[in-house]
Amino acid sequence: MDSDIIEKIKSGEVKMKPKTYFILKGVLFGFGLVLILFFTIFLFSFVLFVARLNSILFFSTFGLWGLKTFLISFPWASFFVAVGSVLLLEILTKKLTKVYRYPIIYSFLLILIVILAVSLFISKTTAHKKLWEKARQNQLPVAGRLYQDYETKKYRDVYVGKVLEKTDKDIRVETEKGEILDIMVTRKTYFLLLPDRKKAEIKKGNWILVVGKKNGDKINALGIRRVKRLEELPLKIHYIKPIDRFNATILVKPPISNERIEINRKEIDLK
Amino acid sequence: MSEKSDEEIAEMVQSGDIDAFAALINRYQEKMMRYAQKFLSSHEEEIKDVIQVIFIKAYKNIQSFDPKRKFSSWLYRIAHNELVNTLKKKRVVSLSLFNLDTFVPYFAAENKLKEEISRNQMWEMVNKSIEKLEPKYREPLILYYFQELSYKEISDVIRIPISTVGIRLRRARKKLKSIYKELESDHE
Repeated sequence: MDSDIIEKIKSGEVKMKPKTYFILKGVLFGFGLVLILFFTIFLFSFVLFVARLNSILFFSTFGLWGLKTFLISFPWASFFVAVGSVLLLEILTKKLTKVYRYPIIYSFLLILIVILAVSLFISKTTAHKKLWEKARQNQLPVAGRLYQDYETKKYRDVYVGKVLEKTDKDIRVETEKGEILDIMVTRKTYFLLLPDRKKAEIKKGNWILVVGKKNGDKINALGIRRVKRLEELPLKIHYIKPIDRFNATILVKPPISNERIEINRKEIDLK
Repeated sequence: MSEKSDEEIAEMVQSGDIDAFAALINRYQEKMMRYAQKFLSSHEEEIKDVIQVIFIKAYKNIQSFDPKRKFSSWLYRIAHNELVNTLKKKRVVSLSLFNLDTFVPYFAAENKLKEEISRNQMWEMVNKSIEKLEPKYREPLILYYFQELSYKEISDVIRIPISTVGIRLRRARKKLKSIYKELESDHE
């Protein structure tokens, strides 16, 4: 047999593939792997960002109705594509030496933990906010549509408005569309992060998200929480007071102008 | 050439020494034949064709071999792929992409595994009964008992976790025992 094979090699019938072929193959494989990894991280961080911005997790605190709204509002398409990417990553990494020597569950968990950790970090930065703004200006090809779709999502029995005034029993808000709504607060109204259920921490000018049934221009609030609109998210966080467990208030000073930023920094230094 | 290791000879082939490849063929021809015969259970002509394809593929892809690694594992990996493709073409069995026994760890360390039967007994059972085993269990058995590869080497050839090698060998032995008992009782 050896003579037959050697004969074929010497006649040129069988040719050795060059080393550059394997180097290029390895580089392309590595590049593809990194690309899929970035794509997966982008998607997971997008899901986390949307969930945070739209307070999706907040809905789940309202029993069956809340669960239904949560299920409807969660960005499932992006989530499942991200999960698919994780599975693809798992299949590809199994081709690497040493990885296949260990059970799939180990490599899968490691990949998942790394991706989730990085995604969580990115979702808390301003990366998605900047991309969202580009999407609004139609300056973001491909991914722009993703952001635009989620910006226009409206959920039933969920209202977002700016506080105009408040009394003991109700809060008057104005929505982004200019609609004026009276939010009726009862003993059953759930205030997120406000353990004593007082609405004292909600001030005029705050944006709030209200969950409740609408009756004309009145809403019986099941739950209220303070939210930040996309525009309120600072480009740079200059000073954040740690969340006070009992007051449950986050102080974030958005930059108004460069001058004000300098003043704030000096005030902090003096303290 | 006989004093050189497989890896050194492979490096010579990579440098363009075609005759060095003949030395590698001579070293591994018999082993590959035994491996293919047990795995495929086909007639000799078909086995020879498959072996020739294995060595041709090895030559074509020799530049992908890293001389710091074991040549035998690399060659067995090529052989495994070719034998599996041959089985698929014959549609003897569908070899699934996902096997549950590769998902979770099993604690079946090679040096601590209790050998319930001796190697001689195993040889006798295997020779008589191996055709009736599924390829999934047949292959690690062949590689371990006939080719005398370690668990780690078998893991590199088949690309399954080391712990899964142990569990498949254990299951293969169990199935083989019952097949062998059936055959023995049929003869009686």
